[in-house]
Amino acid sequence: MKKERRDFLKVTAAGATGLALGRARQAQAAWPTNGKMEINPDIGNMRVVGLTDPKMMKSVPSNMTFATQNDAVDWPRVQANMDAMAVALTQKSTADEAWKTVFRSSKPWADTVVAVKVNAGEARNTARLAVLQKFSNLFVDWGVKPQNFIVYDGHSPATNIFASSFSTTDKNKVLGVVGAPSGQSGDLLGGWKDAKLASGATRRCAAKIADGTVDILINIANNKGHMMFGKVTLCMKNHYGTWEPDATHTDLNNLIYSMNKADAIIGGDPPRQQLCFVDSMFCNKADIFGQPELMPCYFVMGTFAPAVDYLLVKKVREEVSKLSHDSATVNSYLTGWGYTTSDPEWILVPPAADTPDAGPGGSGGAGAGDTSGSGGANAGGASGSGGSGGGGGADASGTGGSAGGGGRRDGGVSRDVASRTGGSGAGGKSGSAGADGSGGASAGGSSGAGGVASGGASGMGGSGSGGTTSSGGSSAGGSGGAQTSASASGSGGSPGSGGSSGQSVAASNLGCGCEVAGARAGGGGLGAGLLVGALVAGQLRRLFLRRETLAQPTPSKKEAEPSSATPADEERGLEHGKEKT
Amino acid sequence: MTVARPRTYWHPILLVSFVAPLLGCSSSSSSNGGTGGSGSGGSGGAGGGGALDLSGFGQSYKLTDNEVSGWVQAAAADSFSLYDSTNLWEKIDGPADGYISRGMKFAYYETLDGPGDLLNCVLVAMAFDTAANAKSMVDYKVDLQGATTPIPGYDTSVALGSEALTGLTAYASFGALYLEVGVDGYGFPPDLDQASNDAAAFLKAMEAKPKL
Repeated sequence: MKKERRDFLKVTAAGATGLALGRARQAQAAWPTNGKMEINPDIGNMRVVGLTDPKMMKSVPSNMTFATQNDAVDWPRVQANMDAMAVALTQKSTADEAWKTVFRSSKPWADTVVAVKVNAGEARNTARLAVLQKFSNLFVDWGVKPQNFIVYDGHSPATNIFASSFSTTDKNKVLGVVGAPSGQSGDLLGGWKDAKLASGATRRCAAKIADGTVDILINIANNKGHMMFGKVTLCMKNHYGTWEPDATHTDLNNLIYSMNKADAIIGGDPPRQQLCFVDSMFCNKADIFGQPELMPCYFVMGTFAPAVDYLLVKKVREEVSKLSHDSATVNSYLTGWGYTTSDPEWILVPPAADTPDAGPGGSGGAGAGDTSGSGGANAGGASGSGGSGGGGGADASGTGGSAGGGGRRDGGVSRDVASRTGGSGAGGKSGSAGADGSGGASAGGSSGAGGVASGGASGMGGSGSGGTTSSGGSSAGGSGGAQTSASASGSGGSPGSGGSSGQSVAASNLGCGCEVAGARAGGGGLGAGLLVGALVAGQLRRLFLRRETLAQPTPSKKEAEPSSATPADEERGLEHGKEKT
Repeated sequence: MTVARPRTYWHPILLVSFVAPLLGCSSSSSSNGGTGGSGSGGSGGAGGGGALDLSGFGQSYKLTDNEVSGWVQAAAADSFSLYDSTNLWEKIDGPADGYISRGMKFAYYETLDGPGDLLNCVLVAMAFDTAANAKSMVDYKVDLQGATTPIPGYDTSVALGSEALTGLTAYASFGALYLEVGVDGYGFPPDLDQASNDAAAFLKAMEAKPKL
């Protein structure tokens, strides 16, 4: 289990002290001066999930007006993807269970007040209505009153953008209310109120957040460049607006950290800000104002803003969009909170509604794993269901995937410790033989090729009918997951980095390259893994779920190697059916 | 391609600002007074070397319907908004510093709808304290956005565009008047020829305004 969990300073003591001093719902525990606090006891602060799915946009909007953008969004797909992300984030088996793990209230739902901070400074790149509706639907279904689901930007007139799309009664709209900037007519958060920053200084804050009236705070940022704060504005910067902004940005970095560590944001029991979500459907490369230049179709979320922001920068803006940033400041997103840049944990979730072609089933993992391999997720193809939920970890004893079997994949989620059997479905369109692979070293089921083995399995199936054998590590635990970017004509096998003596048999030359995530989790596995993936040619969409630990970046190197200019077409990341990572 | 040549004629308000003191008119912060009576009792000229105020800037430089053929101000309540250096941050937060530090005095943001249902423009016009500072703002934005698309009728030293998802944003300055013209609705990938031609039409309309 992660180091952070050992280091946590539970907020209980501080919370108890605070309870004795003030209102029960008054924010209690700001970020501790020494040590850390856990936003959610069931979700590590460093755990962040991402999902990219160009099909979330039915088409590129014909223009960038708010209405046109939202018309082009595939709302059900967006919302299904959000469910998949929640499941992956929480490692629960159902979306409802997952969301109820994320969102907690000390009050009955009927009395709970939810506030959603959006970035409403620019209608051309702000929170998508489908995203807001998903959150609204969750809470309203649980019993939250629509008038207590409050979308706001204390700084910008969110009402101008969102209000006509919201209603407290009309279910054809988003159920909820939209507040005007703090202190102005229509403000729903009580104007400004003096509150303490983490630094101890006093600054005006949206009153109902500062005084604890708001029980749950959701932070929805957008992917935008900025001239400051590492050249990007995401979840942390988004609270410049929950707190009163000003005309100057003197010592902005520390001010933003102080805002985000304050009681108003992460105080309370449970802590008020419970989810940080970046709607990166579009991307402004350098400026917060103006037309988006890119369409990454990416969502990223977690419980802890610094980790979400850091990984959004690294995984989306830098890896996908090839943008450059002030790496020292970006690193400080984490180091400023006592973490290191190697701490974040990135989980890439396959699109929920995807029904990929020809993803053969995963092979079952057998063999005794050690304790810490993390399970892979699985993806299968339309005609071969993937191994379901490779579970890494102790004594994983998956059985080989059986042959044949088509149908929609049932994407698994990763599990830190599990003893799931390996994938049951295998076989591609033509019913080619399924797996019978025995497990990777420390992981149970692995995914089928075309899918991804995350964490556990030490190898990926190669391409071609019948699969390619990859032998897992024989003496070491699972490797980090491998990611396969499938091509239309086959998938690349993954040179899984298995155990210390593991081998992998790489794939056919038809496949795309694979990326092997950095191994971290595996302990010493015992079983010699054998993974046979059957892979059938066909159109494969990328399905992957990767859990990896980020390598420690080398700032000097990063700085010395600014992102090279790329053609605009490439920079868009996802367009015309192209995908890149 | 032609190089835009600044025209030199005087806006009446600016003219007054020079003439009135010569006539002995007392200074006034009003921008809309008369022509300044001679002697006492004048109705108040623009006086004292002061040029436009914020309201005057908006009135004089805002694009009216069809000033660019086929383009009209959008119906939304916030389709035209004025700012000065004290509150620009309310519109664009941190990046306001980049404008203000270079001498931005007044700004407006105007949203216009173009011919048909799709075309849209967000026009940003700002009065800077000097032409050099307005030009330095253009240079900064061109660099920041990686703008490389030529704008028809303008030399690349005067105006350049930055391609966006479905349109283009052009950056230019004429004297102390700084402009960002964001046009979109040109498909994907955008028809840059049409987008840049439309952006050029906006620039020409703004260039025809009284020189700042």
